[in-house]
Amino acid sequence: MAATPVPTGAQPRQAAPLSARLAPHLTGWAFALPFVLLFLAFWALPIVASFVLSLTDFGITNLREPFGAPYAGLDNYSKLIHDELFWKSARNTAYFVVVGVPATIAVGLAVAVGLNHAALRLKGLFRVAYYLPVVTSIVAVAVIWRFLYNPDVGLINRLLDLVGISGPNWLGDPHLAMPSLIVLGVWRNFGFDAVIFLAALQAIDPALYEAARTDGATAWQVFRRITLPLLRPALLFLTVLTTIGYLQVFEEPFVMTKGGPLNSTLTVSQLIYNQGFKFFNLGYASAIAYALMLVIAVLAVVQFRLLRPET
Amino acid sequence: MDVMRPRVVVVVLAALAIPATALGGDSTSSTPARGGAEAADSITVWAMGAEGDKLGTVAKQFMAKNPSIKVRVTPVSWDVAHDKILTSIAGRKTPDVSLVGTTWMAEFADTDALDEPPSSLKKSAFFPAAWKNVVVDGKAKGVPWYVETRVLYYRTDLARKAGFSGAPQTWADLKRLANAYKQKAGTKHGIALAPNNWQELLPFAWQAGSTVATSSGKFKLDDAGMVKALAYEKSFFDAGVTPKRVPQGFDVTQGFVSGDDPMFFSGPWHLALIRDQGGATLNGKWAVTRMPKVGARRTSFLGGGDLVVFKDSDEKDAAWKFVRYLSRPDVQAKWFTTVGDLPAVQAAWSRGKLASDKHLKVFRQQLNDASPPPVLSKWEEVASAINDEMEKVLTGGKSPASGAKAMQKKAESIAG
Repeated sequence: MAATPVPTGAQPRQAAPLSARLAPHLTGWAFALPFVLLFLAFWALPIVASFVLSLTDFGITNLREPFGAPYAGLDNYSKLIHDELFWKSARNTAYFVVVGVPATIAVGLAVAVGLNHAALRLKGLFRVAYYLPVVTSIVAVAVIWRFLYNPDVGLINRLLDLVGISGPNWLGDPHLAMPSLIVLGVWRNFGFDAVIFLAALQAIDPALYEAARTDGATAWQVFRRITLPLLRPALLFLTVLTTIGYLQVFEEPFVMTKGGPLNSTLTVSQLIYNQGFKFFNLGYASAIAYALMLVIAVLAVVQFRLLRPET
Repeated sequence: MDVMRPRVVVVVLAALAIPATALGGDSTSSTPARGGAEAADSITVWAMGAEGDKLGTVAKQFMAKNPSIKVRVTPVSWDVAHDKILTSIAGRKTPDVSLVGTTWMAEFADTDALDEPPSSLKKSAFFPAAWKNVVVDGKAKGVPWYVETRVLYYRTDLARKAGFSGAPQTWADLKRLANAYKQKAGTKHGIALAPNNWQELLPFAWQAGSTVATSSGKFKLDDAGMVKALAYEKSFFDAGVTPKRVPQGFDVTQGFVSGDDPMFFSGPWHLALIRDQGGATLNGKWAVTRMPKVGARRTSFLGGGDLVVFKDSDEKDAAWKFVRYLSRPDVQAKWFTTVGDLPAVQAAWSRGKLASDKHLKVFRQQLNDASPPPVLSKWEEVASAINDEMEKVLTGGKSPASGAKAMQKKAESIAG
């Protein structure tokens, strides 16, 4: 089996010709090339292009002559600061993130802990059931939830009727619309969190639990002092990922409320969509997109710092 | 976890899409090789919805009469049409002819992509309001193809029960009838109004004397007429005779048939919907009537579809010839029987059902007092601001005057 040739450290290497030394690099680049080209064409270029766009007043009249778009400097960014609708959408998005992320992670963790119990039967079935919403098309899910939330004929209010409660207009009430969307978001995404947590839970050495039990630790103490600290990397991963995803929440309000009522569910991504594709203010839409990206980047850095494994 | 796709990239990609449309944007339109071996002039026509599905039959009749022109019809779905036309303009790969929504005229004209119709297409043949809709900055940029306007649908049986015999003629009548439906006929609501639909607010504003926009192309959304319209519409919400909010994708037809929503404003498409869902049992129990008036006018909203020819077309003469064919009164009248579109050409209304049907007669009358929304390129964005502000007034407790003021302020900042 020992395929490794002579120890390399002792070998004088200057003998190899340049081409031979470059060969491995070239092979590497050849393999990477398809990705690099795609990355440059479809990521790097648009990212740069949209930044340039955000400095222009690109509108519908510039379509036929894209390079004639007037340079606007930071006008779009200063407009952003004074745009009441932008701040409204930013607050809505923050609401979705601040409530939605912890809720998703908490539910995911609870389900994972439950599934990890050896005593549970039909474990596979539950795992699949919890994961299904994650892989279902979000538009289909949102359409169905729209029916569930229907104030007159929706399942939720019909069930409430049975116990004599007259259910509210879930998506039609400015105070209830966003929480309703958050519930949908949590339901749809916690399955992913649960699967990641489950994998992390199963990687924890059972000996640690045995030792803790021998020392007389309660179930809560075990969870708090052993399980949770060891789940830290998974927690970081899920927090960052869920936060990024929720900051960009789009399809749920797009399908279910169109941002209403009274713009109470208008998110930043939706504002970008409206500005970019409904009104064709591509310059302004790019500026909002960059503002959102900045927030995402800052939050990701903060989360990495806070949740970094303690060493 | 596909929720996590970085959607910021959407806009980022849009930046790329502009040059890239030249490569991929036209794949479904199957534009034939122009100036190729074909002897016939070949034109491509984009049409949406039912029009797109059925236009092929008209194109066949046209080709039978004009063997030197070959017409290809490409159906495009309404929800992508706006973007698809814009990308085709950006990539200079437009079709020769396209149907466009009336509210898109100004912005497409602003891209300088639309050809002006030849003088053989006479303005006087069309409804004046419909023609007004194709004129951008004083120049016609297309021709009206079909029109629609909004009228009041109401349940006559329930109105009798509520003590009303005739159709409501004035704002006061409408208000009384809405109240009476609910109180005397015991319906769930008196009328179904949408709290965030400018297409319902604008007719009230016009009726109350607002101009919405000045003749020089500036928005005027805070005049007395607009305030009066907002206050009037708000009174329905305050009285609780209209549902405060309706779910996304709500269709009033069901409520109309059941009697829950005995009154609403809508276009001609609801004629067929009510017949389909109401069946024979609802026959003779409903009617349509023109908009109520508060002063002299009963102005309604005018919408519909326009036909445009693109400057980038190589076959503009053939394209206009096809448009001219579609504008013939007999072809327009036949088109009505095919897809139910109301003709934009006035002479077409003297034929068949268009002349005899009692409901259509109401639409015909209403078309004489209808107005398109302002033909200004920022209209879509301003309309969205109007929706936001009217919702705040109608359901959010904002006063009509400050709502109108906010509309005007937003419109000014949008129009720049």
